[in-house]
Amino acid sequence: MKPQKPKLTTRAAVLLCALGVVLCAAAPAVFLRGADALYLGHPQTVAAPYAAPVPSGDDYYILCQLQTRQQDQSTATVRDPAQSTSLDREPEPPELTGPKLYIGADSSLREMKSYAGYKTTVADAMQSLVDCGALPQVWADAALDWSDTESDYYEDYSSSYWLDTVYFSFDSAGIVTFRRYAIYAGELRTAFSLVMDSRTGQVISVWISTTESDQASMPEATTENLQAFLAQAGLASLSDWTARPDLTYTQALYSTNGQALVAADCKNYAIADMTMPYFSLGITLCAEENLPRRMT
Amino acid sequence: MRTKTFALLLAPLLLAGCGAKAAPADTLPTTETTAETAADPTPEPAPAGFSEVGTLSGIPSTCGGYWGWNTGDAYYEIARVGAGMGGLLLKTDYATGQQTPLCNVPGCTHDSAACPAYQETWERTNLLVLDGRVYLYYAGNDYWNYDTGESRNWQDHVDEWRAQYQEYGYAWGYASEEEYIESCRIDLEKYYAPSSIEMLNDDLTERTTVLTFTDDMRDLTELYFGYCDQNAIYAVDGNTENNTPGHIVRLDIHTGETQKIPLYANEQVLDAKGSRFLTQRVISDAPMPSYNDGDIYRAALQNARYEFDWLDPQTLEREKICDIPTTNAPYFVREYKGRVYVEDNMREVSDWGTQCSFAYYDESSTRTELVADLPVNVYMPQTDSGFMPVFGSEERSWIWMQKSGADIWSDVDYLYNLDTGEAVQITQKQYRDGGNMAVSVMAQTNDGRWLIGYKPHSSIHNDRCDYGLIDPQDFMNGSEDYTLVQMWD
Repeated sequence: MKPQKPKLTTRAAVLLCALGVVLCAAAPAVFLRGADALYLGHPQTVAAPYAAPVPSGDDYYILCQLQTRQQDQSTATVRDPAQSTSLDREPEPPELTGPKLYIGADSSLREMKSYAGYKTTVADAMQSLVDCGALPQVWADAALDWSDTESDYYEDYSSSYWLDTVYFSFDSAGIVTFRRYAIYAGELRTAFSLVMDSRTGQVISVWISTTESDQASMPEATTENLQAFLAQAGLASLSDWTARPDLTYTQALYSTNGQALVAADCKNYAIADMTMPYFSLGITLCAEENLPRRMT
Repeated sequence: MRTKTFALLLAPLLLAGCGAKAAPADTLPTTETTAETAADPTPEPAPAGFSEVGTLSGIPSTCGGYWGWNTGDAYYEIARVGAGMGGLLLKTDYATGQQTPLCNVPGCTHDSAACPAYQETWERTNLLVLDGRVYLYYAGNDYWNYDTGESRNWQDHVDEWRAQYQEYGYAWGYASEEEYIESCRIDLEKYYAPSSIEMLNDDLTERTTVLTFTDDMRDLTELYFGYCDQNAIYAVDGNTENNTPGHIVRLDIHTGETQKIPLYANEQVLDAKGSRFLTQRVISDAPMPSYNDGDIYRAALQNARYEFDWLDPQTLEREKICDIPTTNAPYFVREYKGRVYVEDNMREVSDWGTQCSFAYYDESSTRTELVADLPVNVYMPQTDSGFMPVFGSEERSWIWMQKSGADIWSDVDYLYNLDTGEAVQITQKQYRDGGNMAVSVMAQTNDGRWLIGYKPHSSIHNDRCDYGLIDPQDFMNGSEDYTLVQMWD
């Protein structure tokens, strides 16, 4: 009789299968450890390691808009077929009368259109600047003090104008200028000028004057105001904003990467032998070579 | 079966072993990782100055014979001749007292293109004398390379010109229809000619073109070249008044090479002396608004200052002269011995009259008033007219004040001495254009005399003057005892 081979018992088979499973489960870890061991401690150079790109002005929408504004302007302007009158009325779609190049915005009372509905727009924009820390509240309040005028009408040699409204104009890049006009000492003055991008709401510049007699109560801009202002314009990530004491601008920050400047000014000016303070804050483009150096 | 099973179980280990032999390091390309890889982009190189600059001078407006070029030894000019636009280059030699055409061609009658002194048209042409050589700069129209829709072939216009002559020719003084058509032909061809520079040769027998503006120089045609040195002419490019940075452009008249240097926004070039330009710029605490912004601009300007600098165009360094407030609305007159002279405090004194003060600012920016009330409507020509300095020489202390009255009978001219504060009324008169007006103080000679235009040359050519030389003190004493120049006719 032939001897029989011993058979695996069921228990042994189970143990053997379990061992196989364990070995299979451990295989990836063993493989990875082995692979790591080949590289750890053995640095290798690579041809073009990834480097974070340095931002430039072309990467920022608002700076591209400012570049557009620097183009040569055509002689045509965005003009309503009917000249603006002294009465509030709904704005009509502007009619382009010139070639399709960059067309600048009108900037005088006689040429701008008016729409009282923009009071809300302006108020919201001013408050946003306050809330983000770019504009002192007292200046925003001065800008929106619609009662700060000696008259609600202004007349010149050709027409009369209603002043309890917002005057506005667009350029062909979609940048809008809002203005409030007022009468002071019998003279027409600009109470505020707000320039902003109509698509994003980012403010490019703000200028405010007030008849406040206590001029010392009107604060000047701070570095924090400038930083908040450029942040609301989406420019904080340029990250190389620097004060430049070599420039004639006393309250300004400059970005070399963006070739851009944010500057503020707060002074008194005279109108009809009366003085009043004004506040200005704005972003402009300026190449390094064109920055105005201070002369000793 | 068991063997196969065991082999399957071992497969992962085997695979792990294979996997451990991943891509060997030596198959990867190697490159040194440099520090600049992740650094800022390469900065733009700093702007460079002009490679060379000689002794600078303003270019007087000699076009049409209004002014000439004074070298101190002679007075060069483009004189209008004939009934049309013809011109003739003339030289008045102070030593000999003779005025002659710039032509040494034997037997030349100086009335055709064969003469080096003759010009078919004096229009748009300025005369320069550089290192003793005479140059003509013709400023072509910027239409010369554009399609204006008008035929540039003069023969296409003959019928039109003939009709014009038949209607108006008798009043224009042309001797014949052919003469008028010829004049129109010359004008048309000149109108469409590109800018060019011509030079008279040293023996005055020929005039040759040394530079013609080519297509790639088209942008230069729009510039006004107001300054020069021995080898180049200079212009300011760009709107320098409304926040737009401009440039000073240098054009080498021998090679045609152009160079540019930057100016600041709102920086203007006012004058030149030595090898530097005098500039004025607005200094403000923030970028200036556009002057179209009305009171916003005026508010910023009230708080700004005007700074006057000497700009070295080779090194781009600026040396500050002074800065002055804008509130007096100063109008620059000239720089003299480190002082900036201005008219300011303009006020209306009548419906037709304005009055200013005359003052200077020194290096400490302190204002010193010289004349509180200038004559009403006085006009003070700046440095390029009225009294030409000798090219690159001593400064002149006299400045011309021209007062325009309600009518030509009340025109009065003065000479004001910046060193002494003395004002001398020019009493000598000439009868011109139907009225008596002050004689023209043309130039100062190297030997200290003044060249005076004391009367019109003729009733036909009353835009030209007859000249006389006189001692300055005698002139200011009212003398008319001129050493007369023998004029060319």
